[in-house]
Amino acid sequence: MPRQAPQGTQAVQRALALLRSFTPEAPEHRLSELAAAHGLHPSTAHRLLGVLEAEGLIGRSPESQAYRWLPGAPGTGVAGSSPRHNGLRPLEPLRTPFHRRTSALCESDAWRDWSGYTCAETYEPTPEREYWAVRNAAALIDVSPLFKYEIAGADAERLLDRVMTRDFSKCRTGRVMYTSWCTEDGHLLQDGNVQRLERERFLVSAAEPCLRWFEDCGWGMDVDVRDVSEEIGVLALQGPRARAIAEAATTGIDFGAMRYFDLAAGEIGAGGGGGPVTVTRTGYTGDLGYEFWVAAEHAEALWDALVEAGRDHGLLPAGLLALDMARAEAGLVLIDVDYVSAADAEIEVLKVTPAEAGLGFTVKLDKQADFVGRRALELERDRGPAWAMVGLEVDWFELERLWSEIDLRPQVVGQPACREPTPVFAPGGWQVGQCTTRFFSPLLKKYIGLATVRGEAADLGTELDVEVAVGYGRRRARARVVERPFFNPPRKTAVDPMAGVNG
Amino acid sequence: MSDRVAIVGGGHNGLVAAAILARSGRDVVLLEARPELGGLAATRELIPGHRVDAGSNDLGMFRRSVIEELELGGHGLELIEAPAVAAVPATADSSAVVLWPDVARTVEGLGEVSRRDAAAWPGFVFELAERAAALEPLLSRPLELADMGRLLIAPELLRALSSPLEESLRERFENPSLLAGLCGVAFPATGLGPRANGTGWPLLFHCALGGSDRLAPVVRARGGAGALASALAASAGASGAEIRTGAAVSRILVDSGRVAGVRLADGARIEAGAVISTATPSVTFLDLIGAPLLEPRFVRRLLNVKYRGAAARLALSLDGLPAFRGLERPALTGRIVLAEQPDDIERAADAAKYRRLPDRPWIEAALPTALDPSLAPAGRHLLLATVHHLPFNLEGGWAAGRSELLSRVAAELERWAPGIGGLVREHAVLLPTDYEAEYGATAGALHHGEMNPSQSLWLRPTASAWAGEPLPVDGLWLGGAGCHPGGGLTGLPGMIAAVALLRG
Repeated sequence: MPRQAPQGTQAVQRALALLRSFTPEAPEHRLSELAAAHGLHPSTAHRLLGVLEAEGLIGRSPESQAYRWLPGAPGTGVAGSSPRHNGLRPLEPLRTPFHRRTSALCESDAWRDWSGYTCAETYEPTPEREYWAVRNAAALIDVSPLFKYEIAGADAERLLDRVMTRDFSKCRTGRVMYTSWCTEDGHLLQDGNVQRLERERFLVSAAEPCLRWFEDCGWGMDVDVRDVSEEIGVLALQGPRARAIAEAATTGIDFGAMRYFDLAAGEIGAGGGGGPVTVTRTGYTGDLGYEFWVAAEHAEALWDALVEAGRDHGLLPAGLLALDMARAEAGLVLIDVDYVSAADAEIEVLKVTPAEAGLGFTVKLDKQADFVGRRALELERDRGPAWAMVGLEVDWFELERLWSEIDLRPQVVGQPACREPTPVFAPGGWQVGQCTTRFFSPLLKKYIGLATVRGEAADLGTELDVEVAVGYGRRRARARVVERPFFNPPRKTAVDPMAGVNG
Repeated sequence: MSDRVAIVGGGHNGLVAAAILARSGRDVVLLEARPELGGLAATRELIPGHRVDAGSNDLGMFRRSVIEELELGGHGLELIEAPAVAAVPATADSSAVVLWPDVARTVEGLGEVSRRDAAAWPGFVFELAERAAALEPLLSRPLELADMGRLLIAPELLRALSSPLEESLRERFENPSLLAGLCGVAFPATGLGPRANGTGWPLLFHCALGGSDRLAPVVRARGGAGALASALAASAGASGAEIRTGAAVSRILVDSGRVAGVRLADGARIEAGAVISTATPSVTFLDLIGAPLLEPRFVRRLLNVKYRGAAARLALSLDGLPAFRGLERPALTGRIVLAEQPDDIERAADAAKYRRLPDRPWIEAALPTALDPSLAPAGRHLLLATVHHLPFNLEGGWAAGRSELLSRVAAELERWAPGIGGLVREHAVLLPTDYEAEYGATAGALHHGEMNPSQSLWLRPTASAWAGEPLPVDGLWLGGAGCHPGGGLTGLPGMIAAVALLRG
């Protein structure tokens, strides 16, 4: 018998004693047997075993209903996952093919769910150094959670031309096209990149799932749409040193000849042999950069090759916060933040057209194919979009003045981008829109934002008021419509035959 | 733009549309792929010397005003009304049950099997007639918004059409044969069993269009159902319509969202400013127009149409009238329902649900020669056995399932009419796969889309709209059983399409 325990700890002691009965050598016990062995009333034993089971410390045999030892449960010294008592696999976050590498580096332990995958928000406690790596050296970002669809077959181009607003008859093999796609009513569903890998094979990357949409649009066509999201890992290498690193980490690709939105196939490793990889000169930072598309089984080899090659270039792994800051400076809109997909919009007014989301340049009404949403977008062209996506720059002196009223300096420096939508007003007047992304750009030393505003308030130089949080108060700060992107270095698109150039 | 109207399909609906339009002075060309007219209401010599109806042969629901207006009598159509509506031969549990158009006669007969049921019969017929009369105006013309109100203010009607049929019937009746007989009248229209919600609808539909004063009478055309097609074709031809058989349409041509004509399988192009398609919605839009020309949400709606409820037809040439247990000759003129109880139908539906053949198929039998001896050579009788609730996608395929089905049907017939096997001289079979291959009935569904409330009234495509939205191609009308009001030999979809087209 255990020694007499103080009041309240007796249950803990009994439960632990019960737990210790389960060993690999004696894995299974019936309730009555355990109750007798521990001198417990069966109902007490049942209650305690129920807690152990619910906590995943012991399991239950589906056939005999006996309690049983679980490999991997705490205290047993065997690693592994613990199935829930109902016999189902617990719902675990998905791991990207780079997870073993990223998790080893993630000092901050700041993880975020991205489409069900566990992704690092930051690797260090704050995103600052990772952000500066994007702009001044190079950063490695795991963007594998993107949904990826392979579209192949004789009608592959026809399907893309039907779904997408861009003209895919003009997309040559070896090119990537950034495009929007819409509902029948011309409302924006998503934006994403499409790679033309072969004449009859494309790869679409998208932030949200859209397999069924492609299938519905392709019904009756000679085309095969396949979800390859889990088969392909994606790494973004972004920053001025990206080309030098990419050249050192791969074989068989002429980076000097690669233009913005080109794609090329090569081998991982300085001497090759690490497995095949597809490289696109694309990214979500507005900087010089590449994205590497690799079969999951070669993902770690790719990571290792890039990290090795980046050692002398100040390469850092960067998390999603740094990526978000960089994309805001580049003026790139983000689905679910800066616009709501028509697939998710619960009310009509949330839906936008590509033009209203700042993606009007992706709509090619002069293309031949009859794409989904065309008629509605033609009507919009004639009458003009109701909304516009604009860049805002908040007047710093006014921000300083507002904060000084509560005796503080503006508490905005060093903060990641804020995604909480905030109203935008005509100066001193009614609301004309909302600001969906805003932050203090460390590089530009400006407080900038992306906003959706009424068409008449969208002209460059228009003065607007943005609601800002000043301490606990909500104040209006004067802002001006400015050019988007906020930051657009020549190196992003420059083509230079010299090896390892930076801009 | 051409003034011509091209009609795809020479079934009875296409012919009705052709005759009405031609009579109104329109330039009409009707294109039928098969060598004979009539579609699923054609009469074919499937057994030498016999006139075998390939599909429906009951003109009880056919619009009388269409017969008069198109002068079908003058073009050779002669109708014969069967003395009996439906009969269930005697079983171990019950004497034979016969339903007659005459209420008193039915009550008299029912008295022998259940005094309670006999007493309940007149009220049932009255109530059914009342509901059918309320429903009828909604079925005989394009629906209007105000019609929705008619349904909403008739809660009993709504309840009846949305309830499981068996449940509704058991509120009045107890005799299993009577229940089975009533289910048998209603069920050739869905893949659902009588315990499923919404199965009250086919019976109401049948009664609404079968003349609301009587319970779904059986009416046949002398010479077989094909005589209706012949009369319609003669009427249309007399008004100047061009009727072409052996002309399969392979494409409905669309130019900038508007029909331009049709292309035939032999490559010929026929210009037309308007097209009425009597093919199923799936065939019309996915095969003849092509999904890539349609909006994805419309394609999704098409793919969601349920084509459950396939059937097979077995035609037997007999040496004499078979002896169905307990049925006298007049009782053999209507539908003969071979099911002991609603559960027999339910179990067949269950088997179909799991892609299997029913252990004991339930059969809707007809002896057209009992009314019209000219259909078979002297001394012979023709028995048409329709096996309902078959899976189109039978596990193992129909090539393998065919003989098993035939032996199960033969065993059932023998059970209901002992000695019938000895009378059989010749036979012919149409399987669900034949109905699709030969008649374009998607998934073998004779009604071009299951008849249940979720695919009826506003939820079935109409001549020019679907779910409140106009059809996506200008100049295209739907005029087949797949659109409002639905399947069966009614002539209504074709009539409604023609009227809609004339109105513009």
